[in-house]
Amino acid sequence: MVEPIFEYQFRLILIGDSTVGKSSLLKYFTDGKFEETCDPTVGVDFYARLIEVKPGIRVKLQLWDTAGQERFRSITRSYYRNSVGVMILYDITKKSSFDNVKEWYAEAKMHIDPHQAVYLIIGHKADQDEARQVPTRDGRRFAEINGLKFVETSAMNGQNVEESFSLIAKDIYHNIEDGKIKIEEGWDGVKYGFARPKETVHLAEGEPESGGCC
Amino acid sequence: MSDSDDDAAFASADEGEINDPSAVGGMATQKIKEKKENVEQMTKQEPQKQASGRNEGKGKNKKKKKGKNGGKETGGKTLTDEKLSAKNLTEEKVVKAEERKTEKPDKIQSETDAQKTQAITKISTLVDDKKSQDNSDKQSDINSDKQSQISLDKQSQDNSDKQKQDNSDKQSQINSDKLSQISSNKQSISQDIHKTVVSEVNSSKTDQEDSVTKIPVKPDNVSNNNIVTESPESVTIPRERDHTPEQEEVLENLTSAAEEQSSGGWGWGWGSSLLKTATSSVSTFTHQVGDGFTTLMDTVETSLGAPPPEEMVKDETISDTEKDEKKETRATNKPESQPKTEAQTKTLDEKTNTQTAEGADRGGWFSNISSLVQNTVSESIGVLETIGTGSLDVMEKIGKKTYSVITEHDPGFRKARQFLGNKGDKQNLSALLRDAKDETDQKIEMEKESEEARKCHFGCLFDDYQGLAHLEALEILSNQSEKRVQTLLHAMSEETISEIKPELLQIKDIFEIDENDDEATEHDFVKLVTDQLTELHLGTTPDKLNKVQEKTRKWLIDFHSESGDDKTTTITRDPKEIHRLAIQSLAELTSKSVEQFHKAGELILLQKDGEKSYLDRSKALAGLTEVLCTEVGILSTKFSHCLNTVGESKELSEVVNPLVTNIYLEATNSSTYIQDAFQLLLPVLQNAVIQNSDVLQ
Repeated sequence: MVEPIFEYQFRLILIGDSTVGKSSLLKYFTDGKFEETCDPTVGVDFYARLIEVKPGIRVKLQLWDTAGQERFRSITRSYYRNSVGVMILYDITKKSSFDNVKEWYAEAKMHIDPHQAVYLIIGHKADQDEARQVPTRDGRRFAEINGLKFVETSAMNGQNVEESFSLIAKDIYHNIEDGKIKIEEGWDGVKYGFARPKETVHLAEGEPESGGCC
Repeated sequence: MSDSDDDAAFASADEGEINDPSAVGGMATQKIKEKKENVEQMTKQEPQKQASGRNEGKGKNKKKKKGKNGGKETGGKTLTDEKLSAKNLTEEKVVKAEERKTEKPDKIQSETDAQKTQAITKISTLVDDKKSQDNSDKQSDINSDKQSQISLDKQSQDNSDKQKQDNSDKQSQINSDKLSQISSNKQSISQDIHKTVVSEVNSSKTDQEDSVTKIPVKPDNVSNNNIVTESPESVTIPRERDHTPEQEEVLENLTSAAEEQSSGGWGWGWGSSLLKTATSSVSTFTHQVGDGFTTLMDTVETSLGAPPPEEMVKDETISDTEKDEKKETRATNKPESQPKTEAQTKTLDEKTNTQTAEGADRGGWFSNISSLVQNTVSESIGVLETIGTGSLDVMEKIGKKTYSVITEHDPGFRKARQFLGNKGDKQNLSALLRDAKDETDQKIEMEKESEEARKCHFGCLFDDYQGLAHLEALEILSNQSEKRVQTLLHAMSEETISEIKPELLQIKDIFEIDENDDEATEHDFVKLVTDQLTELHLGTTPDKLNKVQEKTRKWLIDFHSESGDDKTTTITRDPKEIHRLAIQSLAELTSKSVEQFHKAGELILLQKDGEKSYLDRSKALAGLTEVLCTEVGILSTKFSHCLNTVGESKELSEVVNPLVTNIYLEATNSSTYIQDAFQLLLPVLQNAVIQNSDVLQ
């Protein structure tokens, strides 16, 4: 059960090749459990969890778990637009999944534009270091080149799972506080929570920023 | 004798005193005998005195009543007066004797002499001060008047050698005699004098007390009680009023006591024995006397008018001499006040004869005591009285002394005391804490309530089951499909549109479901849903829907099967819990339905095989919608029935009715969500139709 009071709702979308572990990562994050067997996602599934981005300030993360299969690509593309955070996953034991990260990133960026979103590159299955095909520095370098954040996680041992979501949530929150991300009508990336104070109205009334700064 | 020079009245009084002792024939050798005689005389005289004083005392009493506090002052004044007189009479002798005895007495007497002069000179100025200090001059005047009257009577009696009437006079004279004797002679004699004085004082006290209290108590008890409890004012006032009945009794008691004293040592028992003991060890005696004296003074002051504790502390700290000075100043005031009244003139004369009479009249026994104490054996008397007053006073003094010492020497004690004493603040703090706790409790309560409300809120639960997210996602798909349909239709030629339009219209017709308000009839949900999904031919399974529905139905069956015996029931009978369960079931079922439609929409868009016509799929979806809505209706009815059953059995209809209403309301919401989700599929299907149409290709 999700607790009722939260400041914002952030819609995060997880993309990446099939079987990189998007659903496992989300299940671990929301349920704290790792399931060995996991049916391939059909279209999109949903998870939700509250997270504290700042002492006393909680946000609800609405997590869209997209199907990584190619055949759902046309459908999942539809869901990019209303997301404020994009977590691009690759399997460190599968070089091809990392190679596709660039494509995923471009696709997400294209569909989210003109809205601003925070991206996080995640090298998943970090527990299987013996089968690693993608060095950590490769993933980090890609993230740095694109000005993104990078983290390696494991739904097996929970490594960096909490941190990764906290990282992106805080990033989004700070961008909202700084005005880089605005809450707009017709865009569901960020919504006000139930307990949102009235003062936030002013945020929406702020001057619209000129196009993407990047 | 500077005193006599300064004030004629005092001088006369002094002379009188001087004369009196001589008249009495105060011989050192005869002291003891005289003492005994005095005691006897006192006992005899007291009844007469009291009887004579009755008439006079009435008026006096009234006056005295007005100013209770004045009693103190009068006592103090009388003391000083007596001192003055006694000093004048036998200053040198007394001084010498006292010097021999103890340092304190020396100081007192020497100081008293000096004080006398000072007091006489300062009388005029002091009168005002006294007024301020005293409650009122009137009181003092009244006292003086009374005293003067009494003294007049006494004097007349004295003059006519009627010593019986004025016990106090005789006593005072005797005392003075004794004093002189003491001064001139040995310390042992003085001790004897002390005894006699004490006995006299006690006897006078007892008389007065007896008259006041009417209690025919033995002299010992009486004396003790007097000092401790009763203030001189109260004593004097009732005494004079109740003269005849009470006083007579007192007199009788006194006489008996006096006889006892005269015959078998001092009837006062341990008091006198203490004195004897004291005589044996003079040094210790003096010590005790000093302490006792201070204690006595404190006690007297407290009993008289409850002086502020500060003064008490000061008095304690201040030497005895200072006390004497104060008393003298007080005494000086009296003489001044006296001249104001008519009786004063008389009193002047009388004073000469009987200073003690005045003291007795004014402050009663107290004045006598005080005068005696100061003049001669004040210390010994103090000890006696201290002992007599009992442990209470001692305890009190110890407590006060301890407190003052602690306060003076431990600055932190004040803070500690404030901390300890500030119970108000403590209460405030506790109140604050209590308030905070209440607030917290209320907050928690509210949170609980909101949480409960949330658990019973269809929308929240619908969101928790991700039904809302699926609906939003479905909406996204629907919107995109609709845009695409519009775009495609725009791009199509009229021919292709006309070709494809019939199918689109047919699908649209299918999506226009009749609002079925009929009472939901029982159906095989699992079979129908499974059939519809099979017909849909999208590879989706009805597992989630069937799971939720079976769970809910099982609960309903269990509820009704166990409704007969509440004892073994494992299912809640709480209406709120039933309500919560109903809403939760509806929300979950609705969420899964929306999810089913969402998946169907995604798959319809993705599956590009033409194995199944979109018309059939539309019909299957419409059928699924109808089944789901029917199920929602059935469930709401069943849950309402459960609530009504509980409500009837427990007579909770007031509680149940709104819950039932809410269930029906949320059931309507649920059906609306399902039908909305279904309607969102229309653009998806149309989009799929166009995309998969042969026309486009």
